[in-house]
Amino acid sequence: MNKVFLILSREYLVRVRKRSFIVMTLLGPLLFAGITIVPVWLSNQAIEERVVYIKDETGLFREKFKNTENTRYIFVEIDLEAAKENVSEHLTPNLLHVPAIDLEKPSGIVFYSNSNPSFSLVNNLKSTLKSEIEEIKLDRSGLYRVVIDNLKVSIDIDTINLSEGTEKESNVGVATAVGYIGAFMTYFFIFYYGTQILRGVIEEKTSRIIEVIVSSVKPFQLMMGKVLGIGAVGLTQFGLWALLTIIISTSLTFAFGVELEQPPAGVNQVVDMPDGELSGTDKEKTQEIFQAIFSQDYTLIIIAFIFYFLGGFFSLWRLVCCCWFCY
Amino acid sequence: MEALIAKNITKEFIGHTTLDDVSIYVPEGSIYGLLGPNGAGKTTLIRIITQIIAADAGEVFLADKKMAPSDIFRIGYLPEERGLYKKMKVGEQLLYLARLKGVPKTDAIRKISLWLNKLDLEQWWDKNIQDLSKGMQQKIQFIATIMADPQLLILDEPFTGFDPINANVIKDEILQLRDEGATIIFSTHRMESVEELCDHIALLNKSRKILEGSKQEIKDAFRSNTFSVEHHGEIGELPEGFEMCSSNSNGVGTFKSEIKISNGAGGNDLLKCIIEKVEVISFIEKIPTMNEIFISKVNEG
Repeated sequence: MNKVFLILSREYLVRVRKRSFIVMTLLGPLLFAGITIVPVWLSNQAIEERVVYIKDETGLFREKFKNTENTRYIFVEIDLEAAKENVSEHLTPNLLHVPAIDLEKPSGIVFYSNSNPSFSLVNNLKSTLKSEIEEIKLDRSGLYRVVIDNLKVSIDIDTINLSEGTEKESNVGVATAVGYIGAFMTYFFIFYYGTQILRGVIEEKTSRIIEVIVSSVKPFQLMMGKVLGIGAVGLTQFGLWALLTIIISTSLTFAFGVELEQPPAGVNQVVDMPDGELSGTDKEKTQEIFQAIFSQDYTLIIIAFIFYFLGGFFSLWRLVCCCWFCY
Repeated sequence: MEALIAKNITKEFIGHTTLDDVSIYVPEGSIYGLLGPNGAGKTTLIRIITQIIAADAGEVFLADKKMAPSDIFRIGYLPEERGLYKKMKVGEQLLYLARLKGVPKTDAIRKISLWLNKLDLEQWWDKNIQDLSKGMQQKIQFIATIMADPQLLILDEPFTGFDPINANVIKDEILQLRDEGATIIFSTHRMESVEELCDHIALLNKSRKILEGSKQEIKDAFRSNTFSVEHHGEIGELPEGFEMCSSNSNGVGTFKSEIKISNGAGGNDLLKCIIEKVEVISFIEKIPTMNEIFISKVNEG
């Protein structure tokens, strides 16, 4: 047993001291923290005001584009060619041209811009035009918006987890996502560290030190020490990742004043909706998701990770052993 | 008493018999040379003794007891193809290998510094193995092999890669270990080191043992009763039973002759006979070198 421990500590120390281990341990959490923090941070940044010039030849949309915090709409009456010229000369950055269209088959609408327009901006323009045309068509067909709205039903099923005795709201979507991420992490760790065992064996075989080692210890002890040592490296890395991710996320949150608990604006494309703010239900939903993320049972997740990591790792080890004994 | 006996060892690899009923008897406290041309099965035999691979048939006894897996700690093995962990420090690595052999930590540290000092490597303690020259790596591996004071040392080609000075240092260490009571099995192609070091030898060829015994016995067995004589003047006709093989003059009246005795007479009889005829400067029995024995036996087999 003492020998196993000796081998284990060598395998562990040699790997933990490697530059690649240190780099990976530091970069991993930075990446995770980056993934969680950066979008939130970005969306909290003040967005430069955009001005969209609209040349509306139908005259139907004049009052329909509502200015928001970030986007201002100005209707122009000048000639299309002159307006286009203005765009290319940077006088007016964006131009929406709505020609005289057939409402049954609206086509020919063009957006001119001197840079690549953002997805959300074009989407906004599209949805405004769409809803306005729908409105007009509704009117023409003699239907009332109220009737249509009344026909729509929205069903929400609340899922409550009763397994721990207390009623706990759960979120199927978030639980699935956490499951997927966990599965990916387990998969990654098993394969990465499984490969490490193989590489260790290859190193010993090519350098021929294996002959010296197996004339000192039993092959089983060598393999056991190796597997446990490398497994311990994996768990160390996982632990450090978890710890560093928490530390970095927290400190970044403080540093940039980002409040994670708040639904970050911008996670949805609804931010630039013509009516300005997020609708009440959207806000609630985002809140719910965040609540669900924070209410996951992380102790259970970590224990499950360790369990599956070790399980998978040892099954892989059996495979390696087969190769070993085929030598 | 024998330190190690390998009895009737047979090992087959797919389609090829590497060892065919080979037995060796290694006397305690001797340096035992395991000789043979390439591919004779020397390394396979050593791997069977060190339990790296198992024999198909046959048994190995260490100090008269059938070898058990735990006996491996009493053997020090220096493989032919050397290897160390390249990215480990010298001291760390030696400590690790010593502790794997069961040497307690404090003892191991003391011994490592002693040996590193002895072989002039003390300033390399904290350097990575990959920064060392090949010769230095060999020395480190030699230290790793002998650090646990093994009863039986198996050295596979211990001198390859060493310059003559370092080869001498290692040779002296091997002799000293023998004097301290260790038994050494020593596999090599280099006949001059066999001549110098070995007390006993076994010769393997084509998977079989073709010769075994003490160096002296073997040399005696291969004596051809030929004498090399240096003398002034020509010997001329020799009596019955003495046969002149060759006689060459060096130009200033000195001759070098080889005379074979074929009738069972001794060296003294030959000397008496020629002393009457010429002035003898030197008179030496021609004893075959290990190299000659090796070549003749291998060619014969």
